[in-house]
Amino acid sequence: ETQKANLKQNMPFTCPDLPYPHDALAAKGISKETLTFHHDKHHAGYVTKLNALTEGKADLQAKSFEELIKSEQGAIFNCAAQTWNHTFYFNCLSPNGGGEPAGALKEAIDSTFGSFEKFKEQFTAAAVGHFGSGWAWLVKGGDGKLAIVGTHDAGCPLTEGQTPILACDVWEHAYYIDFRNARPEYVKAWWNCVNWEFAAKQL
Amino acid sequence: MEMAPLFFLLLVAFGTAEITLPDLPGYGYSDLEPFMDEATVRVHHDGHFAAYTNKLNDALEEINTLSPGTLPEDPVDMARNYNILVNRLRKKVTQPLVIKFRNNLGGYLAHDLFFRGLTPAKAKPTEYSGLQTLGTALKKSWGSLEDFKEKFLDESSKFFGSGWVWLVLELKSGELMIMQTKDQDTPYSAGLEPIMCIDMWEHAFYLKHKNDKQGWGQDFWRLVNWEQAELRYLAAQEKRAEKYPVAGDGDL
Repeated sequence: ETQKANLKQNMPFTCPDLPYPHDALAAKGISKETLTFHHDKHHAGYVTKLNALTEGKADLQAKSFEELIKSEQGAIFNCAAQTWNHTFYFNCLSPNGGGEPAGALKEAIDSTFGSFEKFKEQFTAAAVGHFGSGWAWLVKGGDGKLAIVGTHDAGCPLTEGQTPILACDVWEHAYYIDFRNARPEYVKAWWNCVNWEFAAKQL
Repeated sequence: MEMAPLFFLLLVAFGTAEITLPDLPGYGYSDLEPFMDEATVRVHHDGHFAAYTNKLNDALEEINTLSPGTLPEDPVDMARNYNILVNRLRKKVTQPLVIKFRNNLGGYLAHDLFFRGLTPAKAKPTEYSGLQTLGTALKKSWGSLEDFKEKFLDESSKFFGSGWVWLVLELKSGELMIMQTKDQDTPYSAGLEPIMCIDMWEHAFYLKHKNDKQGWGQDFWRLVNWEQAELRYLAAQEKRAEKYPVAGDGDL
């Protein structure tokens, strides 16, 4: 799996490539400029910082991002979690994305939320309503049930034993170039990019 | 019937007057160029600051209906007494309303301080014009103005998430401190009086600086209104004397 391969770090930590060219989402409203800064500066920047913070600490450098997320706090947690969160987020988007899910994921969404429309409404509310930096997630809980959760700053559902299915980055850097303060418009564009195949594989 | 008592009755019954969005203080949208781009000034003031003001008014209207007379009139006093006030409100308002109050009160106050703390670079004869008593105090605390600048911008450059970096006067000790708040929290409720501040939410700098927080800090410094900072410092010291009167104030 590309996702798993990307998340398995070599020493030192490396930033996974974007799964598509920087201009791949431009037609759907997420510009080349945004993806260039978002991936090449922010995402890559977290990895660079993580390498600096773990320099000389072989035990930490031997861990995966997921292990660091579960064991560390403070700056190291922030960098590991933000690296993981962004890798996951970019995989949640696709130039061929949008529409609605099918199969088992569709059934799970329908049974949990009543319908796709109701799920979409609730997820949108979570993404638009999050105050400050953070993320909106669709997760599968430890109990196997789907849920919509928000995390603040670098928060990652892995620390709660949840399995992420979808992520929407609502840090302002994710949308300010293209949408300025109009976060609802960004979230609409995000829906048009959702990679339901990737999401289904996480279930 | 006498109008004055009727007016007071209505005020108590329906809460206090709406808070209005302050205009940019003495400069226009493009006057902070090149250090702050016009587009940012517009969206920051007319978009973000305005939204905090509107939502604060919504929250206050709700709170004043559910719990008339609990909140003071002045938003600064609301912030100074935040913890006590929320305690008093706890049984009458929902937690979401408390959060709405906290976030938008903070957002309104922080942005008011922020915009009033800026001035066009061309309006400043020298980098620190306006600093007098505060300048002396900064040098005493940090050694030099350059050292203070370095410490302040180091704090802002390494900021994680959304929030603010402040120069504050701690009322109890009289000490100047550089400190951070998260999201839209202000230092008031911790007994700290703001002297000047930098907005580290990405919306404050992203259009021009993208991820370059250091570049933003350097540009911000060119715009700091040290006259305002001096006035705030003097006012904070008065507040301190009022709150903690000491016979013979000694060193500042």
